Amino acid sequence: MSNQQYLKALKRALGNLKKHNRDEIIKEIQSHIQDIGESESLENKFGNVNTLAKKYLGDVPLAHPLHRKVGRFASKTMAIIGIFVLIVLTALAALAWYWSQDAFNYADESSKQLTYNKNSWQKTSWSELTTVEIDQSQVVLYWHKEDTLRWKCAREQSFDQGKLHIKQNNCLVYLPMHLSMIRADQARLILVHPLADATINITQSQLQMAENTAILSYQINAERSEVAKFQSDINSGINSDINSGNSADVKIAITSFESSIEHYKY
Amino acid sequence: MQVLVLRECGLLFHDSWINNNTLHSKALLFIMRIMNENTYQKWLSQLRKGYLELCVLVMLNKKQRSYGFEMLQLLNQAGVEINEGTLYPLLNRMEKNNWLSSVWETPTLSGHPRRFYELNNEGKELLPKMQSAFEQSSQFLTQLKE
Repeated sequence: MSNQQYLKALKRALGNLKKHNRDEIIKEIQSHIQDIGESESLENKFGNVNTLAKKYLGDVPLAHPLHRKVGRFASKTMAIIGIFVLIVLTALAALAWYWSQDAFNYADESSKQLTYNKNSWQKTSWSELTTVEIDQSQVVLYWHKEDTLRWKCAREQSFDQGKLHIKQNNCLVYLPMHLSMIRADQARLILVHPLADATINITQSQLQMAENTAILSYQINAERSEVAKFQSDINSGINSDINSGNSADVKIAITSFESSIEHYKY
Repeated sequence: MQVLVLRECGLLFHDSWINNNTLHSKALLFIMRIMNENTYQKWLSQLRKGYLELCVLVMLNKKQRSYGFEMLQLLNQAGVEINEGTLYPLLNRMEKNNWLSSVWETPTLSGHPRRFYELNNEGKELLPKMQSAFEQSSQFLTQLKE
């Protein structure tokens, strides 16, 4: 073993010491070489590298090159796995957030998804007896100035015997400016800017209100339900009869059972 | 003695077990001989450790300051058997113990940097105590022998 190899091996073996201490030891031995002459063998003078290192280290364990390699490999691998897991979790969270979002902001009445197109929307004339029944579906209700009932659903949806019965479907529905009778069971219902009175009966459902600029008068009869505080409400509460203001000319009467009534948020 | 040595290793053997000439008793005797040698080496190394430390302190006290190679020569000239592999780690440990302090110096005209050691206050305080303890131990041993 040459003197350079000896010093390298010693430096490696002293790997568990602080860098400053290690460098001082090597520097001192290099100084000793210059005193005794380059031709002298360090191995002969100082003995076995590991034995010498152990003397310097005392209670500090000897740095084993293989252990250090394994340690470095393990820490690198763990770091890579950690970063990978973090990226995957972030991606999953982003996907979950993306999938949990609504297809578009339902409260935006000028959204291009609401543009009328004969091919994608169905329409029927309105009569006083017309009702909307919603079962296990997600329905967004808008109001328009036509005397028609218009709807667009993810799957084919028929109108039968004066009743629009939406079952296990996702629909956008336009109601005329007449009193509407709506019943929902295990459904998610979003009302956007109501322009006419509505009587809504919900069971085990979620009703969300996007009032936009409308000033509404709520009459809520809720049983075992959660009712949020509405901007137009003064004394919102469960089983309360609320008149939010004299200027409100649209009345929303809600009968709720085991449901939640809240604001719509995109 | 043999039983004692084995006892140190947590093994208890009766003398009669090793007083016959069977193969296992020969093996036991061989192990004990190695252990005796090892324990002697251990004892010697412990004795030398303290003794060498004292030698270095005495020498530095006399010389005020010195570097590794010079100390090695002085110690060897004084008849103290010590090599590089023992001296340098010893100096390192003594500095850690705060008995010595060191400083790197390069001669102004020519030469290479050298690490000069000197006794610091703790080392200076310790030296007379260590010398007296060593001399006392030597006296006790002489008294015991007489």
